[in-house]
Amino acid sequence: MKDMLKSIVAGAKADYAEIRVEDSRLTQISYKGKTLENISESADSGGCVRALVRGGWGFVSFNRLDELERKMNQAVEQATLISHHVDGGTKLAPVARVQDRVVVSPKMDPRKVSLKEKKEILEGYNDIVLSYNSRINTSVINYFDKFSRITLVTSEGTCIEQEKLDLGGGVVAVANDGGETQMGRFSFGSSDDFGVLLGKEEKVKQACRTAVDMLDAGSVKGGEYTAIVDPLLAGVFAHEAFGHLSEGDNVYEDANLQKLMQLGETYGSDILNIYDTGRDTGYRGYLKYDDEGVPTEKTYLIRKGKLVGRLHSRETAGVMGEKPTGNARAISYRFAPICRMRNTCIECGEASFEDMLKDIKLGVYAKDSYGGQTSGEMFTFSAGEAYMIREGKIAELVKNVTLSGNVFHTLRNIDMIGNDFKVEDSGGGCGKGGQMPLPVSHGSPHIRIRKVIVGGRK
Amino acid sequence: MENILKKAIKVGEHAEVFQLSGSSTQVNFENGRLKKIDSSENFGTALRIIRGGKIGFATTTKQNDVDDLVRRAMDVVEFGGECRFELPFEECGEDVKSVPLFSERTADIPTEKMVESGLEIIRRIHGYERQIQVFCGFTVGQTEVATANSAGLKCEYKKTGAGFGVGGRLIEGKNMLTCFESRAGIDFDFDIQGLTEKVIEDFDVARKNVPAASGEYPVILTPHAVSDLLMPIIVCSNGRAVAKGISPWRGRLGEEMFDPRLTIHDDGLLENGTATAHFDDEGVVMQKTTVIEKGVLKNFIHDLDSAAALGARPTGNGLRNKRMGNIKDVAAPPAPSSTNVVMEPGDMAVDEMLKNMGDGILVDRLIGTMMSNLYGGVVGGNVLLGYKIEGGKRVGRIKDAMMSVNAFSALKDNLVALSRERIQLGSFVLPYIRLKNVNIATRG
Repeated sequence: MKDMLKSIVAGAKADYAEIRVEDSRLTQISYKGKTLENISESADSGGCVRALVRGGWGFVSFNRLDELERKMNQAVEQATLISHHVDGGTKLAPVARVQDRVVVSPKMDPRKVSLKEKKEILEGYNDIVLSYNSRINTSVINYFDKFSRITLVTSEGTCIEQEKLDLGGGVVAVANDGGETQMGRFSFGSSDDFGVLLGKEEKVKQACRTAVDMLDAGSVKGGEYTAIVDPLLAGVFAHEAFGHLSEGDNVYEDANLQKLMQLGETYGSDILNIYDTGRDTGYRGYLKYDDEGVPTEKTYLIRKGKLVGRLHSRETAGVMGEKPTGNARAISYRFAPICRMRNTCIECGEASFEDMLKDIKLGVYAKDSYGGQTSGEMFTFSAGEAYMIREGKIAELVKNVTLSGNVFHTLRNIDMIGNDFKVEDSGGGCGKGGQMPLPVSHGSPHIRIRKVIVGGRK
Repeated sequence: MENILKKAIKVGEHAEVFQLSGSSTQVNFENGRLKKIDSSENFGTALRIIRGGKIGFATTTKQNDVDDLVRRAMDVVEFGGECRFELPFEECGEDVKSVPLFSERTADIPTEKMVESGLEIIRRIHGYERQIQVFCGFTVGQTEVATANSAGLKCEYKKTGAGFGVGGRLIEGKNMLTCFESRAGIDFDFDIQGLTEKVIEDFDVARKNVPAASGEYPVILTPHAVSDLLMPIIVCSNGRAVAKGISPWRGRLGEEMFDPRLTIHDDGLLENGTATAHFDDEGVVMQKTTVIEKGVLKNFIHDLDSAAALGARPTGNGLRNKRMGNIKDVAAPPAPSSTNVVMEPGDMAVDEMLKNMGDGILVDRLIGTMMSNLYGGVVGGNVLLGYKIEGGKRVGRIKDAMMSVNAFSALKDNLVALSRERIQLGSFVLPYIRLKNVNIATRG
């Protein structure tokens, strides 16, 4: 097979050509309430070819792995059609040729755990939720594990066979009282260990407690607050607030944004360090090579408050004259790789939680994540659980807290960074350009942000 | 397909095979230049085997994977979910059959024509402002869907799909502004020029920022923002959420929940709707279901399972969709999902609505609303694009603002008017809505 792929990319009438072939197995189990909603075994196999001709890209994806030469020709034709309309600006940053075979060696391999055992573990958690108390109405439980084998062959001589393991899910407790519905959740994920799912009884109980307590909580009054954000939500904040804007495809062809995002520009105070790494094994954002065959690295985006790097594909790095960082990722063979994050973190600082808290007269302590969204300089991130801070103390629980910011103001308003760094994987993922959910991770210590906009009642 | 069904019936008691195949082409312009042309061919099969009252579900995208597919479905069937329903066997009537799904125009559109249109759009927008990073895209495709089951059903249809989007990003100083419009349907029938001019008009007004203090405002939501406001109604009327008690609406059919001017349908037969089809993905004939009629909760939407759980009739909403959006995914098990969401219009022209409001805020785009507590009715998000209205006119953009409303109470007590005009946005057909007393929190 590999030899055939090599001969097809070698024969392509293109400046650059690649073939990616993927074979994967997906197991999914979900419960809603007592009933098992779905249990399934899916096999997915397909591939794609991509060709670059004088600055134009052609891309063809498929399930049938026959007629690869015809498909390559089609991609070359599409790229050639584009090349008549562009000035050939696209340059791929040079990278070393890689020949490698990456094998996953899980700590606890989900493929070796029987469906029966997986089901029993989830049912155990489901029982905890459903028997917690009468205000818990129902549960939503999801689990998946996916094992894939991806072969990438390029016309430059790179040939990588990479195995990937991804697993995750969540346990959601749904509380209901009259017309009011609230949820509490425990989410998990890993790239090498089924064990992250074991022994989480306390976390599941905590999710139940949160859901029930929030039924009685009031809403926060909308406005600007000083917020302390817990590591899980601060990780989402790093991802939404700065990660997306750092993606090379945002910047590389926009001269005005390049002016704003020149390396060396100050974005925060000198305690702020943000990086994105593919090298942290075990997390869902772990990746030895990206989908262009570039080895991943730890890429600093902000160091001592200053912009020092961005997340590149070979194309965005080539156009900007910077180094590729191994951030070109595709969710599957259905898509061409684009600039994406891996594990995005705010680096550990020195402040203790008490120090952050003590001089806040009125603020919000936002914990746990419902997710977030970014567009340009604007972003939102939603807390799963939140409390008012009054006179330096954590006060009452408040519900439905969504925070919002603007990258040019909000990062500067981070005035304290905690000493309790943590990466917590979730079962969700990141979406961009129709590619969702991509496995990513994020981490952070507690951080304090001044003047965050919190939506809410009058 | 028949071969799979035959083998599956041999080892199970009942079985259902669902097959999806298709092809599509996308032409994309990014940062003001033609960037890529993507095409895709896809094929997949899903199998449900029912044995001992349980369901085994397995899928594959391989071509000759019949034995392995059947084996995997059998592997999971003993652990599978309870099967509470009978597989359907229903002919679709002439009224359904006559709903067009295939557009020759979409099927035949040459790639070069899309390229030409894109180049024209870029010339036009750059003619207005060279600094705008223009993006636009065209998608055309065809899908063939077939379902067969052991009750004797064998149904299939062939459908086209088309999409168009245009927009741009303008950075002036530290101000970033994105304006865009997109449309989708079965037929490649887009007002490309009109939408391009709309984007230019939006840029022209929104590049000027105007301050707005935190507080309660009269607000008009455009159809884009109305689609966010409707999310709580969409998730709460989902038969599965109702059956499992996640939705707070169980046992509340017939209750007057909203303003009597509010009528919402789930319409699987909507002309040119992206979710329109003759059958759902379990082989149930598609229909138009009225969810809210004059403010009263009338129906939930169901797949086979949720209908059986609640003793209702399936409504043709058993779809195999990706987690987000109306895109079919062969690996997804059927679940109740909205088809096309259609809201009845009001009687006031949009211009008149703006004039009547006088001063207030026009909210066009929100981000982050999907992360709200939708089952609690909460819709909260950053106002990505919103305008301050003075004397019925857009005077500039309000920025760094959060809107938060409870859709349940807003559409009951705070609804002022619905517009006569509606816009079809893919699977949504929605009017503009004016609300009173909406909370907007801003910076500073």
